[in-house]
Amino acid sequence: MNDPYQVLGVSPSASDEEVKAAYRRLAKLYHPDRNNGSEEAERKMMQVNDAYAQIMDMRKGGGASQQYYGGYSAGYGGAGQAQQRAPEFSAVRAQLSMGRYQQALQMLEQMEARSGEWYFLYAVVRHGLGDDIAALNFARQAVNMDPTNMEYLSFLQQLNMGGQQYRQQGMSFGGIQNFLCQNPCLTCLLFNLCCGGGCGTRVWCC
Amino acid sequence: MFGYVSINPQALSQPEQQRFRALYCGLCRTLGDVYGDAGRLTLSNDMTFLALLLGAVYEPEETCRQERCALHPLKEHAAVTHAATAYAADMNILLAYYKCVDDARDDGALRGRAGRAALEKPFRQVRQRWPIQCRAVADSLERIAALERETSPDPDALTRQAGRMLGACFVWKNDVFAPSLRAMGDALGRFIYLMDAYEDYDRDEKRGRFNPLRGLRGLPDFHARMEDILTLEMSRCVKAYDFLPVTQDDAIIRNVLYSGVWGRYARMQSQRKETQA
Repeated sequence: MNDPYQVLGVSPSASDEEVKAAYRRLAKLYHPDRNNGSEEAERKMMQVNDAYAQIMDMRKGGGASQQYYGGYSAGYGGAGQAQQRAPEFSAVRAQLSMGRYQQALQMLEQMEARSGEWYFLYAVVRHGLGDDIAALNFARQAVNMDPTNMEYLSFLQQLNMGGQQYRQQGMSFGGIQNFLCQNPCLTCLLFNLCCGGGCGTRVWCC
Repeated sequence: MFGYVSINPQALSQPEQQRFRALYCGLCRTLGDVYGDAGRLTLSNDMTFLALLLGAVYEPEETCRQERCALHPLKEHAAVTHAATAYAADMNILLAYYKCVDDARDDGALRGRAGRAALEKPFRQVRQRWPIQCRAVADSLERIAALERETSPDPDALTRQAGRMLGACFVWKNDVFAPSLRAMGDALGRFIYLMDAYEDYDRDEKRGRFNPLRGLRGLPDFHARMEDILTLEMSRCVKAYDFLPVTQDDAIIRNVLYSGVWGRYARMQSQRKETQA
């Protein structure tokens, strides 16, 4: 396998933007629309695609699907945590460390005791399955039941971190808030997309 | 599924707004050319975004025409089309068709039945071209309907299906970018489904209809939780987007992902504050 950085012609220290720009340059060169379906160009294009994906996988930590249902790994199983852990959950934690969310879910659902730890583990499992609503709900519950437990707290923070980053980055693109202009006419234009544009402000609909 | 994904024009430059509009007109034109007036009526900003996104990822060759149309007979405007606009047009038909099916089932609305009849032929064409997407949408909608019938207490189960549905529509080509595009569509689908349920909550309650958020509504911090959940979905969407090699139109796409999708939310919150005050 070729070095993906060599394929794209950038150094491993290049920024994400530089990698993307290098990809675009090569993609234009080998683009099927511009090469009359040449097999050589097609092969090159695939190489470039693979190299790009490989670099991004390395940088963003495992392919897109993993990114998406990445689960939670930082918190549990870490040595040196002074928190009390009930032995009844050790089998659940073992399943979790292998990413077997379905099995862990079944085990938890068969248990009776609904301690803080149960809520925490249940939240981790649901997060691993991509169920955000339940994950947030149960993580909050775990923290409420045992506010001093660092493991629960850091998991809840990790859940919320993505959202905080998103809010911050979003500021320069208009963000969630400040959406409504004070000018009622603009507001009308913004949401009533079929209003005739008679207010002098150009809007891209009718 | 329609009406949530759009730009925030106030945070875009004039050329950027014109660019989005040119793609919107291009999609309209494609729908009209391929599927006639019934197809044209399904035009949405949501699928304009899909054309914009796929165009940025695959950079297909573009055709830009200056044109006049029935809606804008006086002013000449640009319409940009490319291979991804054609795909987005097909997905637009697919989703619009099932929306009509859904409307017709919900309350036997005439509009739904009429729409369904008008879109029957375009839909058959789309189904032939994109069987995987069509099957995924049909299957997810069936499961959502079943969960709604049994008044499922688990909003995640419903949200998951909505995500799966749009995730399938975002995958145009089966290549290295497919997982990221699917993840983007998945997160957006979830976001849209939750926004829809959130927006319709009071109306559903009044009519005694099922709403997936019923179990959450009683919580004292319901609105704050909804914002957290919606934000989480969009943060997942952006994370998947960051993976993709986009340079062209990046600012417009981010405008949609960070701000445009919150338009209806912002309006809803300001209305809520007004009624509280």
